[in-house]
Amino acid sequence: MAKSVTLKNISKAFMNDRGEKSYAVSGVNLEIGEGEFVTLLGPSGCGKTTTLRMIAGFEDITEGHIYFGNEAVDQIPPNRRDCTMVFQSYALFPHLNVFDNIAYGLKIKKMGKSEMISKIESVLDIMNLQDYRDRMPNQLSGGQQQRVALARALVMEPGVLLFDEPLSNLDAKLRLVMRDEIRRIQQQIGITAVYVTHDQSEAMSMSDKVIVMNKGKIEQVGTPMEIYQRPKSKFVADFIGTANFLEGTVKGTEDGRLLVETASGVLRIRRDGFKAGDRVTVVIRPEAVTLAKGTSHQGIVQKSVFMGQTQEYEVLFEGQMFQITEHNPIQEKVYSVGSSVSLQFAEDALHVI
Amino acid sequence: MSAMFKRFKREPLLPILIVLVMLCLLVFIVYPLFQIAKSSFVGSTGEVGLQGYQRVLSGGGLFHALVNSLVLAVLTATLSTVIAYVFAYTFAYVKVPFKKLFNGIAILPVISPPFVIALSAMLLLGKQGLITKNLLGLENANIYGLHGLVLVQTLSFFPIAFLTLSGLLRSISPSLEEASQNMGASRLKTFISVTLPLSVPGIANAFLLVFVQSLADFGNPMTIGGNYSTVAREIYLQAVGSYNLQAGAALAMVLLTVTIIVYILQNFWVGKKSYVTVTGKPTGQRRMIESGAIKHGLFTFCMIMSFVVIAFYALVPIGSFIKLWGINNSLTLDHYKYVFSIGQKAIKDTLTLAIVATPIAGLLGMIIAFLIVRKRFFGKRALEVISMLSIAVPGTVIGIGYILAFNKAPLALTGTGIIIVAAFVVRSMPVGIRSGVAALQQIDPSIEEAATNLGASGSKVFTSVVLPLIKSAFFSGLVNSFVKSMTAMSAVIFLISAKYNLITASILAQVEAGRIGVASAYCTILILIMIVALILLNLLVRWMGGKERSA
Ligand SMILES: Nc1ncnc2c1ncn2[C@@H]1O[C@H](COP(=O)(O)OP(=O)(O)O)[C@@H](O)[C@H]1O
Ligand SMILES: [Mg+2]
Repeated sequence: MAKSVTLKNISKAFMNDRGEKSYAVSGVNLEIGEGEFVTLLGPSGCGKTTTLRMIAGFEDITEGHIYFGNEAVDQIPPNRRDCTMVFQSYALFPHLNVFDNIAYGLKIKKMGKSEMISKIESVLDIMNLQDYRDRMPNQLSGGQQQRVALARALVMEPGVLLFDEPLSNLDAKLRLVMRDEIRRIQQQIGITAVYVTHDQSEAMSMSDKVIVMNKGKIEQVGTPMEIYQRPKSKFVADFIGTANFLEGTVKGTEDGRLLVETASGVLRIRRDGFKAGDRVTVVIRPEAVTLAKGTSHQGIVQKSVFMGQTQEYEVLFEGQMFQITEHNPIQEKVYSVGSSVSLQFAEDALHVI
Repeated sequence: MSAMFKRFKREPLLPILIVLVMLCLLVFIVYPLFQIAKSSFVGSTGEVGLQGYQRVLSGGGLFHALVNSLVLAVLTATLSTVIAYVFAYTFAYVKVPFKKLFNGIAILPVISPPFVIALSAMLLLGKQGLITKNLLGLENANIYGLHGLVLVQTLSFFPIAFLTLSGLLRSISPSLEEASQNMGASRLKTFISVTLPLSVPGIANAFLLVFVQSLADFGNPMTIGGNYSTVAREIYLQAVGSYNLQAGAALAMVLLTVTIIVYILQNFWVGKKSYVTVTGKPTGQRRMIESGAIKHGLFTFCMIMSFVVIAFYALVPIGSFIKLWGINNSLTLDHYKYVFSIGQKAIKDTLTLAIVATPIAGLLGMIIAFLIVRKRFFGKRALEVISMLSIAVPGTVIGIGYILAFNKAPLALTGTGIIIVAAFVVRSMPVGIRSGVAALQQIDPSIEEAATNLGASGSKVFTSVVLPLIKSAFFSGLVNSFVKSMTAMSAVIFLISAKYNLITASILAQVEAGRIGVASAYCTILILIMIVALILLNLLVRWMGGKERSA
């Protein structure tokens, strides 16, 4: 049975070398619905793993409470929490074969033999592992080990499934395959999943909800689209994809659009919550800009790289470097390094913070 | 405080285990050492003072013993290190046959009883010696004394230095030497300017290892020391012979201080100086020296040394069948008849006590290693220090400490089997801890977390995951404990009683009585028992391994 997970004001302090408290996670509030796939996303060291390990019970909670459903689990030891984890290093038992690795948790539960075998058989089927059931972990490829680790966690039918950067040890191609597979299985079973990664494309492609973390705190919670299109902070905008920033001042509103005065004129952006006089930052994604022939005081192309589907530019504009992506480049309309260009913004794709 | 309470609720067994382990270490290591320290300041009539240390340092017999021991240790360590370096260099750099043989020789001293080489030295080089009397026709040759000790200790201990040095030389990246040659240096120049400097930490380490072994050695000085008294022997005589416990304790304190200083040097100073990062796999393939004078010279040297060592070991079984070595060389089984009648009890006692001590030492070693590597708790640092300290404590110091600590209430254990088992365990456990720690550090901690995550309790994680994964370290710990216990002497010689006698003590008694044949028979039987035990243990490992299908 999938369970919801609630984190109430969770903090975690470690003692540093000088014996002082330093917070790895502070004041995290989070609600994860039943059957939801939620990703903790953020740069290395921002407290994702620590948060996940508190949910699993491997780290004591300094402050706050964790609930599975309505039940507080803070005091429940890790071996009795209704969650299983897929580890970054897979953590397969090297002395047990695939079958016994998967059977490990069921044996501890003292499950009856026939029930156990049928559960393992079905998970072997789901994970396409039937051919490898008698292999030892060191006789498996990285992708197969990954599958066994997932099978071992799944077979327990936990309330919550936890992942700590499970794909980071795989090569790029396999990572894409496993990404889809994990998402597919999660949907099929309908289990609650908390997934830690620092890879934004992984987070975007798999999750119902992305939680962006920075320095132990939550920066923003939202669907992948919300996070990308309406970031709440420069940090989120910059961390998710690429972003250009333009400083400006709100002049007023017109037809429900904000009029923002910037160095490149007045931009009309769909957004509320600001009033005239506010200093704001306009977030401009690389694909929200189109280039046209211009004069040298507007913008100068510093870098121009053909990538196949896109042409990537770096343009010096208003004293800063803009990243710009043009789709479906054609020979005649490509600007070379040194060209003078003017920038046109797709106003519907702009965002103000 | 509340965090500690939470942890206690989660793993109630762990604190109990920690307290038990700590208690064992405190009672059987710290308390005896404390008793030595205390006794070294207290005279026979109860007055407190420095008389004990005065006697040690005032230039009398005890001071001579101290100087003697240091001289012997320096000589033995130097000689052993040089020989070991040649062996190790040959092993790592030269293409020669019989490398297996050299390796086998390096293992011999680890499993051999402490007397074997000393006994054969008597048989070869003594008054009735095969070489001295029969070959050279010398009358009254004398093997007893410093020269005999240096010979015997070097043959006994150079393999220890060899193991250290060959590990180091193999881990020097060949590309460094290739770079040197590539820049125009000759082989000799490369050796002097690259290989040798890189091996300095290893050489220092090997030297210190042998130095401490020689200093703590009890068996050899007792057998062929002659008038050359040494510290370990003097401690025994003070404690058991003349009943001057204060002087004995003071001398033990001095010995302990020296060994601990050396141990610290070895671990902190030499350890820091090591340039070679040991990755566990040799880096690149070294091009071996395949011909030339160097190869022939080194090979000849190693072969001769190997032959000498083998000859020394082979002589003891031969000697055990000779009626009266050098005087009546007819074959006889008398010595064995004697051993099996009079010595039966010693054999039975030694086996029984060793069999009791082996699993205790093995399990305790693994548990301590596990606590050190994986758990965080109050007093962990102390646990680490005490258990590592026990590596540095010489056997004779443990022996006198046990006499002082356990001959009165509340811990009146003198004369019991418990005290001997405790000595066996304390003496053999450190090696187990070391190999356990090394094995555990190789295991990704998340493997244990995975087990916990799947529902296993603390003890279940230990038995179902940790123990199988450190199985080979565990079994080598068992083998080591058994071998060490069977051949132990320096500590337990203080503790034997009418109720419990030991083979090693019996051998010593026979040597002192001049019955070399009987001593040789004992030695031979001891070696045979150990070979059988090693085979049995190996079979056991194989049998368990078959069930687990180790990866
Ligand atoms: N056991 C620990 N002791 C001390 N500090 C720790 C410990 N575990 C994590 N930290 C610190 O907490 C912070 C967050 O770590 P972590 O949760 O592993 O980050 P992430 O998984 O997001 O990369 C880091 O600064 C890290 O150094
Ligand atoms: Mg992490």
